[in-house]
Amino acid sequence: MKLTEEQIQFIDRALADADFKYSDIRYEITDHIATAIEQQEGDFYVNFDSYIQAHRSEIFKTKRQFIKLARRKAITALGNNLCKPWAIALIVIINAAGIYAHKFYERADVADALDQIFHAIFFIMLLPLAYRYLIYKQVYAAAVMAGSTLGMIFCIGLPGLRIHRLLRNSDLLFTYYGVIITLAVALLVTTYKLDRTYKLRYNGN
Amino acid sequence: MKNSQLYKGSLNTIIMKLLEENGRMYGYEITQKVKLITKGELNITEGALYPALHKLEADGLLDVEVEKVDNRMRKYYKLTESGEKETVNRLNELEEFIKNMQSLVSPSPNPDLQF
Repeated sequence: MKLTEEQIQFIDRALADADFKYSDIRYEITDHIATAIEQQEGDFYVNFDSYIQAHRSEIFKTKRQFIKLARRKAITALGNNLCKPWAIALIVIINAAGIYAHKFYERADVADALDQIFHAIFFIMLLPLAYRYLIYKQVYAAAVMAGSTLGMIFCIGLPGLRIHRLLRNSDLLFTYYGVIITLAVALLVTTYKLDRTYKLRYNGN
Repeated sequence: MKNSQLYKGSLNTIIMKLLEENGRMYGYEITQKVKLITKGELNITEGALYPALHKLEADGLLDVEVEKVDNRMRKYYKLTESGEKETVNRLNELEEFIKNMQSLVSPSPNPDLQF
């Protein structure tokens, strides 16, 4: 007995309500449960309930493992992006730009400007993803993992507002900004690349 | 999975062997194929199957194709080129392992070692 579109949506919603917020894993488990129920006779809702009762722990185990692997995938992709020549060049350029700007402006002003660049990158990245999640409820695990890593770096970056008082050496200060801005850009690139890959895979656009 | 400790280490090889034979498969199909081949003796659970599939995919041994089938997304897995090579290696290793285990569990009498 083939399931109807409403029944498929029912499974999908039930999983979403059970905190399966990442579309990629939810699609796969929805298909698995739907195919299993299609092999059975009888009432859909009764079959669905009994399937969930019997497989609940296995389904949640799958989700936990999936998130772990998505994080690993995000870190690997980030590492690959950070090893690219543009990332190293960006650190050098930011450092050099900081040193050059310091010839004309106060050290604290240059540090503030670099700090604002870092925060701007963070918001540029976060807003479209947050929008898509809130409006379409469609996010892919590995992309979110990369995005949330940037969130953590943002939190670490916050003390950067006063970092120019902590790091007395100007070269070191501008290198610090070079590294965190490059990391933010690399995470931005990684997040969007992963997001694009999954969007292509599941939506075809 | 039945006798999970014994089968766990071979799950990836089982999956890869099935994909080698069948081209591309989706998760539920793999569980049913294993059940059929083993006459119901081996039951691969979701909690074992999907993490294994996702790990093989992350390692670049499996490729993924998604299609809309019967009002839902279906994720098919197939071996990559390196996955095909790795399958051959793993099957050889598994055969060697089975041979060694057989020798240990039911050793055939060796006339050279008899006193």
